[in-house]
Amino acid sequence: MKISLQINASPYQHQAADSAWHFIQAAILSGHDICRVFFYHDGVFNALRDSRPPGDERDVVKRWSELHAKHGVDLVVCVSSAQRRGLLEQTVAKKLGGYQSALADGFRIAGLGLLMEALIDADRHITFGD
Amino acid sequence: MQEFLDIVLMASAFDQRVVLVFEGDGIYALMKDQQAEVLDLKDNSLIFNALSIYDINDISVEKESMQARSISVDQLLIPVITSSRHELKQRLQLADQVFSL
Repeated sequence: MKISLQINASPYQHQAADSAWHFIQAAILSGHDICRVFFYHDGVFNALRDSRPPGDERDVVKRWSELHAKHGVDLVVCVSSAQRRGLLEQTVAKKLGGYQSALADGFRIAGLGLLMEALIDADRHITFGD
Repeated sequence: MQEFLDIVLMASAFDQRVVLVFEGDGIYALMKDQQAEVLDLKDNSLIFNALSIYDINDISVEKESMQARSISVDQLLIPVITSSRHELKQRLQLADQVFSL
């Protein structure tokens, strides 16, 4: 089954990102295709490159990057949600005077069109976080 | 609210049939005569009034939520259908995807 996901909550405060990550692990193990993970609202903080949790804690951002590296899952961060919250990717950062890129490896930035594409394309779309 | 309306308009741009349902305090979003500028907020009434241009005409409010807040339909910005909680529940079950705020 083709499954797309949407993550609406930031990591660490809510369970959404953890639940989604574990769901994806189980889905891939069961042979399902995760066609896209779309980060919206405060969910964009899942892509924060400079996130540095203490060494004895789970690293949510790194986990996403590894998921992309290992399984090629398409991790898409909504551009307007991200810019509102100060997460600028390289080209926008240069224009607006921010950091090089606030996005961790494996994430790409795009518009809501890619959310709609996933909704239409996937057999199931599952939202984590409210 | 803004990021939610973005999804609504984008869905319409992708030719998806959009049904909007307002319940609970969400109904206040549709109230006429809002002074958004007092709170330095964007005036969403322009977007609500433009929904028909996007072919979004199926807009419902929950009867129980309206009654609990003593709001009548003539206090709202746009024409809406008043439906009971039960009716709305049935309609939501017909949707392929449900987004909520």
